Amino acid sequence: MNTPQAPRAVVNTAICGLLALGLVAATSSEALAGTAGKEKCAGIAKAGMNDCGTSKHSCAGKATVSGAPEEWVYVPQGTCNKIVGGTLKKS
Amino acid sequence: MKLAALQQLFAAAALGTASASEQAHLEAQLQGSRVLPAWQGIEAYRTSVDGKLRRSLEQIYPVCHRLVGEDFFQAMASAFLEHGVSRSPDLGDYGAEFPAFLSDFSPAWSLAYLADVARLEWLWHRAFNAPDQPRLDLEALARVPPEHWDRLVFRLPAGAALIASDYPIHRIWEINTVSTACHDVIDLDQGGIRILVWRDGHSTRLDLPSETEWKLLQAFASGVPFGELCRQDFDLSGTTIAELLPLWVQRGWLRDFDLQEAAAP
Repeated sequence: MNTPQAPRAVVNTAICGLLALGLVAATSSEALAGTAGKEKCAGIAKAGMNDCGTSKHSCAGKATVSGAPEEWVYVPQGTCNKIVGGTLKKS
Repeated sequence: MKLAALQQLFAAAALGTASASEQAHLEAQLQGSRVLPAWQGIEAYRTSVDGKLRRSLEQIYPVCHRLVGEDFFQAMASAFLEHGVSRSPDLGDYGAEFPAFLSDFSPAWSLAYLADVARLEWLWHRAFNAPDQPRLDLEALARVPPEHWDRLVFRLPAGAALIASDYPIHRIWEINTVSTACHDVIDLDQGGIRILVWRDGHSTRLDLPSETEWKLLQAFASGVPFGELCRQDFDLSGTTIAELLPLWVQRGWLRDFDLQEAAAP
């Protein structure tokens, strides 16, 4: 850790440092376009949702049967088999 | 029949919860046409509402959808639809309770991480739809007199959220959204993760803060005034708040500020 400062001094140093950023930005418009966060990017953008989500569904569309689905439906069958370990039961 | 009673009947029919006698009661109040009898009109509403809500869930929770497959997802959606109706006029608010619902949905318990993945997808959806926000206004900050700096409350971006999980949900999310990563295998035992979900202009992002950054982010997220935050003895692993503050503003993690009301004398 750095040398302990009085809280007041910590606040002043931090805000002054932040305001100095503004001075730099005033002379260089590039300065604020920082990319410091980018390297931590985990993954990322996916396409957004459509506005109302109805584009694929006509009003005369699929009737859904209410009531309990067949038992076999309750077995996840997607990409979860790519995930191993933890508490996932492999049976 | 009173209008309110008619509306209740219609809502029940549109949601598919009306009994046979209620449906008959409603039909008697409605006038169909030669090409579309009243019951078919009601049916069009019912399937349309059902389809619209399912489509919303599919679009908000595409990773969950891929994880469990179409049949299982539709079965979950059916159960969720019976769970309750939305109280918001905005379709963008629909589905908020889905992650909590999944936690209690016993057929999905073999996928311990599923509810957390759903939480991440919901936060992604909220960040994506959050209002646009300019960068922190340094000129406005410069106008705040130094004696008030203690009371500055810095804000994370609108729609930003912090989420922690015992499972590597960011990796699960990634292999199901980024096509190049789809052949990877995820090891659930690789440990927990902390994620900041936020939007920077056109890109909605998942950032992985360090443990140090996480604690400080939580303090900012809960609106701790800056003076108090500086008095808390954060272990910042060799760095200082004075170094991090400009960095985070530049990064876009801190997007706005206001002044906490002065305490009454």
